[in-house]
Amino acid sequence: MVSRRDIFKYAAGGGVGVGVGLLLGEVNQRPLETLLSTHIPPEDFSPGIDTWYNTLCRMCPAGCGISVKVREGRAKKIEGNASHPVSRGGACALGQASLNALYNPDRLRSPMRADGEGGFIPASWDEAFDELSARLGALQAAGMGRRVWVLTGGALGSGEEALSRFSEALGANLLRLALDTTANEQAAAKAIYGFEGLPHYDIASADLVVSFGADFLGSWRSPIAYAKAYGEFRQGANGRRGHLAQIEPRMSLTGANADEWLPARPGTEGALALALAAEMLRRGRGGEDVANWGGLSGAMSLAGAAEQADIPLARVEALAERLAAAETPLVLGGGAAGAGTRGAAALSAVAALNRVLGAPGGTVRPNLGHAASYASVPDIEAFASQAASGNVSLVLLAGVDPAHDLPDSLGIRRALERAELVVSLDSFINDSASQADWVLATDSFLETWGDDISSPGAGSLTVTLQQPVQERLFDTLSITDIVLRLAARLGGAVAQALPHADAQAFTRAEWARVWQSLGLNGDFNERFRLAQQNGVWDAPLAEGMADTISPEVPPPPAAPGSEFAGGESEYPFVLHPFVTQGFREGQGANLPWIQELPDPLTSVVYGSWAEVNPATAEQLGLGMGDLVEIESPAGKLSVPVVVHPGVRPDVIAMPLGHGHRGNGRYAKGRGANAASLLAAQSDSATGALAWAATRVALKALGKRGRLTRTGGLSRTLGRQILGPGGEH
Amino acid sequence: MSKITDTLRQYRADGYFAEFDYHWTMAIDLDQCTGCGACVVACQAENNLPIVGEKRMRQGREMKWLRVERYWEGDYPDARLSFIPILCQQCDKAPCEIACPVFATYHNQDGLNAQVYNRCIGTRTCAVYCPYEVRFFNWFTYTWDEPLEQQLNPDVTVREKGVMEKCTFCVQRINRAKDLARDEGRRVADGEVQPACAQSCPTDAIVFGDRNDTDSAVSRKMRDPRAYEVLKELNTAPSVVYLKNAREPLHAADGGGHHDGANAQAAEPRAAAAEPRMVEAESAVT
Amino acid sequence: MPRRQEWELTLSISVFEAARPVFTGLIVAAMVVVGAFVGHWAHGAWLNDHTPVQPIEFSHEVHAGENEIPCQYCHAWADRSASAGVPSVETCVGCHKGLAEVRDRPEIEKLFGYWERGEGIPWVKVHDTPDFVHFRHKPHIRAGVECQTCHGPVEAMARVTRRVDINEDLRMPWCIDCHTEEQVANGRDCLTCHY
Repeated sequence: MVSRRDIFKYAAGGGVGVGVGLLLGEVNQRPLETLLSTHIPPEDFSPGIDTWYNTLCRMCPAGCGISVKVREGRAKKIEGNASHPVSRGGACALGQASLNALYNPDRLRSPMRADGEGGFIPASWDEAFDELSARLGALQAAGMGRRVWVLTGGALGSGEEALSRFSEALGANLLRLALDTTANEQAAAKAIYGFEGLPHYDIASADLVVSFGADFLGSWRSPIAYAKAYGEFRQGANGRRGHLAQIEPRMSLTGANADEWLPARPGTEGALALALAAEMLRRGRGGEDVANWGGLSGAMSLAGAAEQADIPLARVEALAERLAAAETPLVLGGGAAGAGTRGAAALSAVAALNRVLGAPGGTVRPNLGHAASYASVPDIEAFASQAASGNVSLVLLAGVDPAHDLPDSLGIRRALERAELVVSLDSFINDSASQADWVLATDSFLETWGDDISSPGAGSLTVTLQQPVQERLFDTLSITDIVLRLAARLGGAVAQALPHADAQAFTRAEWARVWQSLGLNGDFNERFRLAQQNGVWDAPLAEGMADTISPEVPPPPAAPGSEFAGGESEYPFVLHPFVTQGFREGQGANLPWIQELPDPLTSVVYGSWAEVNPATAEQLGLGMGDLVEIESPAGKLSVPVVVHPGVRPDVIAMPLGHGHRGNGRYAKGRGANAASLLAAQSDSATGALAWAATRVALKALGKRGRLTRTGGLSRTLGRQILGPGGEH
Repeated sequence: MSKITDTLRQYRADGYFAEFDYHWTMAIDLDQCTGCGACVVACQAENNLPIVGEKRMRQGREMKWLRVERYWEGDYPDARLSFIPILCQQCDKAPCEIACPVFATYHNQDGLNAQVYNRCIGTRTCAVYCPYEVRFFNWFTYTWDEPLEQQLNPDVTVREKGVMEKCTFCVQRINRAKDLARDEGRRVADGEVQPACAQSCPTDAIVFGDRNDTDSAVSRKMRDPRAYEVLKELNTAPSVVYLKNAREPLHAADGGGHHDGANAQAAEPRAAAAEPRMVEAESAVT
Repeated sequence: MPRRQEWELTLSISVFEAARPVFTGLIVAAMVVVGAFVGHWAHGAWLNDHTPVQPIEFSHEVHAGENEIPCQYCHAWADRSASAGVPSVETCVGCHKGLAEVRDRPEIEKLFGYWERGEGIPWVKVHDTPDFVHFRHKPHIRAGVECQTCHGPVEAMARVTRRVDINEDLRMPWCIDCHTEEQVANGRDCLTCHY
């Protein structure tokens, strides 16, 4: 039946099949991979084994020591350095997410120059240094160094020392910029404790912490150090559980964890603190050192202060009762409470309450007299007016983004437009850099040398060493490297002031200088090697080196309420901008892990929002996610609302750090920038920016906003998820 | 099949895991947890969790093995917020393990609820069975924008489309610690293994260790009178123990409720009504 | 009824004849499929490139065989790491600097070429496991497993090849059989290798 011809056909089919099979096998082969081979292996190179390097986190000024896991020459994970006195092994979300900055797809890979059409084109370092040193040299030769402005942040390391020596030798102006500065707290410490710098707060040994607006678990000063202390404060080895009262108009992360949250009317915190101090004196808590304060007779009565703050008198009296009975109380003041037009006075009142309670020397201790001196609002306005009159030739933006982080009302963006040449030293084309003529691509802090004086250290000098954990990914330099190379090219006084080859040499030289100035003996090289190993140098201070608390100071000034920009009838709400741990003032916005980390209170991701009290929302007909327009005397923006009960009905709260015009794909165009609403208000005593002293109006736009939230229900609905016997 | 069901029945017997070398357990002290989210990022960094993007987030496709849930209580001004980190509870009597048709999820001798990526065929049944909603399905093969992929942890598999994934108690760290202990011919010491979340916790709220060692830090935490298990009534025997927040009940706080008093109960429906249009994106529904 | 049977037979034959091209087509198609499987298997068994060409014609036979250099002299991390590692160019050159008699051979010239250009040598992987398998050398060395157990007699190979007859192409049953036979602690637990 089957013919020969068929047999041939079958055989041919089989043959074709085998051929196809062989071909498929060839195509389907595992792709060949090459092995990781090195030319000369770096020190500590070991494939498949984690190598940990101790270094410094530079995402905020706290100066935490971190350990970075490196595998095959690439940083893989950041953890807290367990032997570091500040971080003690802990690390916050932002610090851990800084790897996203190192490996960011939008990170600059070489210097960039503006193409004149709003874009940037890659350039070489030689071109950049040629142009920059020619400009600077000409200005220097003409004796016009004053026309150069260096804008930087508030860190305290040797990198900043290099910058300030550079600008000094050049005769340039140096501005240290931040939205939330320590100026008011330093002024209060000087006035009430009598020492320079910032106090160290010992939360762990307190049995009662009363915080006026200081979000110490979220973003205030040194969140990891305070969180570690808080862990002990709650469930410490001493078997005592501390009580935490948080006084603030919008519930912060600290307020959410507090035993009691007292939503005081914004700007009244100082008066309340002073009234409590007077009450403590009446109850006989003050010691000899405050005998000359005359019982603070100028302070308001408790009832008056409670009414002004809009807190029921019973709760204020109960708080006074607790304070009077506490053994080791601690009062903190910060955040918006210290950022009104009377911020310094409010923080002085808080310090006075501490002093009456006998906290200084116990839960409040002097720190080493070293804190950044920030530019005040008049300083910034001077820069803006110089620029407006065409007297600014060159602006060097050293790792800061004032066009985003600071209020538009200060005129920095206009000043950058007017300046002849703007050079940004940054890893991203951020809002300020997009106005620059040159953007010099900088290293990640994980690729270079430096250091920082970590705060808070108590009784010792804690310097954290920053060292590269991996080779540079791209053609970048650190800010210190750039400054040193510029100095070398400029020659003369500038080169004399900064004769070092690179950031490593400079850091080492600075350490040797401090080593000598402290009169420490021993082998410096050995000490430096140890610091490279441990990541930290915790030098006990010799007798008399640390600041001490003055035995007697004049009584604190009266603490009048803050004054707000904008009339109450036109702008019925107070704007309460707040700093979150992840975004800070804008530093975290380009990190995808931070964008995807739900906000702890609202669980919003990818974008910003305005928090509105349910009563206010009902009144305005607003629901979760509705778009509103917020208008202040300084500007307006639109943003979706989050309705929750953690905010006063007369307050609109907005997170800072969102709403970038640039800064890469993860930050650009997400959310709205709360700083753009702020009026140029300043503290009446220190001139610090009063960033919590602006009133706003709210208008429903009648449509939905772009609000992305994660998670499910916001109530437990009796499910006992938080433990048997209901919620706590 | 009977052998399999026998095994399942066996380890559902109380005390079965005490017979094994280690019984990894986590204790989370809610009195210390501040809800800061450091653990969430630590987990993402350690376990190669993808960056899912805003669009996927809006669709509820979040891929966070560890999340911090937050619950409101009361009404302004007596409002209070509580946080609770939720991760795979590594249940000894895990509902997900019964569900999987191919045994891609099973219980191992260390009390770990394992998920084997190369065995998983993506039926997603386990995620439906999980009462804690901590299993996440890869609907897409996620990619990392160059050079973000250089951060990926070489000790953890990068999952691709069609695979279920969840918290592993950082088994790569456990394996490493056991390996080091084996070198020295000893048991893993208490505190030697720290999952990424426990290590990063700024308040030391998360404690991890071996429950079979009655002296371990986690065993001591488990004996605390505040210790409880979430959804205990489901009898899943979780390996994550929570310590209840020690705050005084909201309305017993000094001064009492100074508004109309009818808050606690009445507040619930009102507060729920305040977010009527909220997208009920249950994060873990895959 | 014979007539009817005949008629039926005629019909069936004619149907078969009519369907003949279809049947032939089907059988040919089946043969193609069977052939494809055979071809694919044959490729895997005999033609798969288990012996990739390396950038330098390096001979383990000379180094590990004739000169008896221990494996871990060059693959130095095998006893402490997951990966055994390949030596750096520095290590190669370290020895070869002193070996003037072979200095002018073309393959050695290549080595010094890499050295002078400051490059690593892109050695091609011979033994590889999928990414969801976390094979670790260290525990195997600790347990006294000979390198040859998995890698074959490398010291006799001029160019390293993956010996499928020895390691079944590094497939999981081969791992599990050994773990079972040697009674490895938790050796059959998935989490030992898959995580």
